[in-house]
Amino acid sequence: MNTKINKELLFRYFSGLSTPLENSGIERWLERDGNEEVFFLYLEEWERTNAQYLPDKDAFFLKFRGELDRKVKRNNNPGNWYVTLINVQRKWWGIAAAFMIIIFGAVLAKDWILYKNYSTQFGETMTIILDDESQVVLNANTSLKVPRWIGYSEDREVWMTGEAFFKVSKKRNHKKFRVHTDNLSVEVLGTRFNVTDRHQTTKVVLQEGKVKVVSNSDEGSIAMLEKAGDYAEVQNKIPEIITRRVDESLYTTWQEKRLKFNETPLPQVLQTIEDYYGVRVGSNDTILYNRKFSGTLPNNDLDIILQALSNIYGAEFKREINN
Amino acid sequence: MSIEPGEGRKGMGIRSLKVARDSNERDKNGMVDKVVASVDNERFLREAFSEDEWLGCTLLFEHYYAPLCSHSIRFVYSREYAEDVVAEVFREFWQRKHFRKITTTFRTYLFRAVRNRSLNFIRRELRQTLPSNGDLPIVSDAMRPDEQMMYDQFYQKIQKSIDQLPPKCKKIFLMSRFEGKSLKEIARSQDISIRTVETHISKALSALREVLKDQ
Repeated sequence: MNTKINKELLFRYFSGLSTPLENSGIERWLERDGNEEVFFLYLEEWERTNAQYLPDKDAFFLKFRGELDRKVKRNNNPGNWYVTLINVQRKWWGIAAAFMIIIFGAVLAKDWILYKNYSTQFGETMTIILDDESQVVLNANTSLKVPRWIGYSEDREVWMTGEAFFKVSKKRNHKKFRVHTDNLSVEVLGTRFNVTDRHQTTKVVLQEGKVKVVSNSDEGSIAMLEKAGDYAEVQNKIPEIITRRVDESLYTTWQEKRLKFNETPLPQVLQTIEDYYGVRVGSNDTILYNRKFSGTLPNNDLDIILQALSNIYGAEFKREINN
Repeated sequence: MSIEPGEGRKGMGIRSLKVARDSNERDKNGMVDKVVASVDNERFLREAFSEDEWLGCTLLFEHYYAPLCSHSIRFVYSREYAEDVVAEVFREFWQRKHFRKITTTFRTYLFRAVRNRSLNFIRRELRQTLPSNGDLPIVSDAMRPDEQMMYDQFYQKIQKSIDQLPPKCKKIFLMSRFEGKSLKEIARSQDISIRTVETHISKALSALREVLKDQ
């Protein structure tokens, strides 16, 4: 009685369709050194081909990572020191207090020690090359916080408001690059994309490569941007990610000091100009606000833009004086 | 397609890689190729671990998450519980740094741990006292073949007892456990009262309890 143990039999066994005789054959086969590994090898294959269901891997990893991250942070929390210090004898209180002050100071200075801030004024752009050779172009009125020691931390993480274009260099060791805004995070391996975080809404447009967008709300929705022109948007306090296809050049030509629009409602065009120059602009002919604008405007001088708009619409566009 | 007893193929760990490759010449049946491929895969993971433990863990979990969940659910019959079980195994694997200690392949460790925990989980859920007076150890170094096969028999019995439920009862049980629907949602979609839904589910659970009683 020499039962042949092969894939076909093991699969039948896993499905509960093998005979008792075959089962005892498997039992004897399992006693042999190393066969348990083969057994699990086929069990894995069987589970892959006969999956009971497909679990949501991304959601799991998001939660799992977050949980471990939080744990790490809690261990470093100076609050724990405080509890220990309270228990120290009276004569040590002076020393304890001194320690407290040092820790407090460290906590306050931590942000300055760990991070470097870049920001642009109205009407100004700035190109930054990070330590890992990634390039970030900041649009006007934008700030970006990067770790001072970007090369040494686990992943590369930066925080921003405003608008910026990222050209992320691919790292050989697959460290991820993450861009955080109030509403979402973008996770990438090596790619080019634009992030706009203005008026409580964050928009991400992909130019090249592949990125994962994760909403910061509790539900943590996820969107994958995989093709040039894939677009994701998250509004403050709304968990869903809105995705659609756009012409990516509309979102990236600002780097060339031009603003490109396609069928964009005029108030939105004015809003973009306002965001860039930090002034209110408007027209005396408000009927025009129902119009849509297509075309490219030069973007190195506010007066030239307003002149161009005035010529196009035959009405006066100018800076509104406020405050 | 066979592994003949007596061919002298010992442990399928890293060290036996060369042996398995040599015998590949004679044994063109695919099974060995697969073992070699899998050893390579495990070796790749081990290399990842030696470079960066967090990276190794991430790759490992990415690779095994789906089949482990699928296996666990055969025991616990609930998506939520299956994912909890797998998450617990991963958490412990990472926090207690088990990857530094294990003597088997990662696959064998993970499947053993998931089978073990799944069984403990469903026993606890159905409030059965255990014959062994406590949970089974999460990972034992060596497991007797009959112990190993006990797990397979267990989930197969669970499957059988669920298949034997009246169709309506089975459907409602699966909606609750597999699709994670609330009692209210099920009641509404099936046009029955919440009380009836509860009755169906408790009937299914008592069928599972019967399976445990035999263990």
